[in-house]
Amino acid sequence: MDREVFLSLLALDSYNRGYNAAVGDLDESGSIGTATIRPFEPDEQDGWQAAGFYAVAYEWNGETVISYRGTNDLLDPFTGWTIGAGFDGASQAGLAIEFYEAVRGLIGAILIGLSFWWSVRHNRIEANRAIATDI
Amino acid sequence: MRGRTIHNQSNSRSPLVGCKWITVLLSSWLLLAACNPFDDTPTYRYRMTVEVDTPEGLKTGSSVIEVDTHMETNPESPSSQRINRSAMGEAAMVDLGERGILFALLRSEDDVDFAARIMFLLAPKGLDKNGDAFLGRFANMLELTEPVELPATQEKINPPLAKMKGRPMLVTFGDLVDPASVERVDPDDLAATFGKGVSLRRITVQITRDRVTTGIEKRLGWLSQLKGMNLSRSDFPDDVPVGAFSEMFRKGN
Repeated sequence: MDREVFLSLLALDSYNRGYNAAVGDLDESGSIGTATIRPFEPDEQDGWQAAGFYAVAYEWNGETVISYRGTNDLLDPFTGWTIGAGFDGASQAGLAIEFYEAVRGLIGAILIGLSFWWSVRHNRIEANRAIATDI
Repeated sequence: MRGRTIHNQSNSRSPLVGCKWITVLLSSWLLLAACNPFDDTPTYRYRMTVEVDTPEGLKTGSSVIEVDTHMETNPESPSSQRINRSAMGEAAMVDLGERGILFALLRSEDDVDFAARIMFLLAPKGLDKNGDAFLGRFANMLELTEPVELPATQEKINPPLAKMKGRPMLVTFGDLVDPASVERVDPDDLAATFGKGVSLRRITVQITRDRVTTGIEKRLGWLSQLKGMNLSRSDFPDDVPVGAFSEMFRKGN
């Protein structure tokens, strides 16, 4: 399968697992196609639903792919979008950084699925200095 | 980082920083656009009761769970709506004495939203006065004030996902102070875990006005501290999901 197409499928897949999934009966473990879902660590998802945040990571062809849900929740304007104007205390941003750092041991992480892209520098996501681009 | 990348701007102050409040106002407007101002779905509470037969007699435990349902409209496609549900409460506990404690969790084996969804799934289908199927079924659900026994699977209440579990996941602990000692319990074979003569009679749910149950942390003292306990996935049994481990026992309160 074409690389971009498969990455797009993984981006969508984050909406199909976990709380308020768009599709029922999909587990948060196992695999999708040739990608393997990275197992979650104990309480790694603690507080995610309360913040309207969700992400999942995959191992795929020696790379790590992280798929974040974009805007899909009433909480997003308050806990997510405000990061775009410099409110870096927005909880979704903090959770996104935390999850990235939890899986970044695997070199070559590809961040996909965000409604805007964040840059990564010095192992930190500095969203307030990134150029935001809609997918 | 591969794929499409975004390059950092210089360290100079971003012009966006000065627009924080504009962003907040814009966010608020978009939020209002996304809300359905006619959302007729009140928060509701239900009691989940677990009944276990033992050689010493019937043992029961229950928990009151609150569910908030809201319908969201996509501002770009007003005809497109989605339903978000969130549950607040804690697992039901059945104290089996020296045999241990049985926990009926806020999730099932295959659905993390089980506690937020199960009452609606049990409700008979119907239409409200405006012909709305969702609101009709929601209203029917609020009438379920008598105990309804949970089925083993969703075959009869949710045919498209017939194989999904109809009952919550059951677990116990070898040692209550050690979260990694968690063990799955087979609802059809409690004797395998708790000994001969112990079996699940039934699990029921019913709409209630009682207060949401609290206090499970008195039994599970690690609930707010799991992240600091230096435990990893490999410390837990493979058949127990751990990503939202604490939230299987207590959520939103």
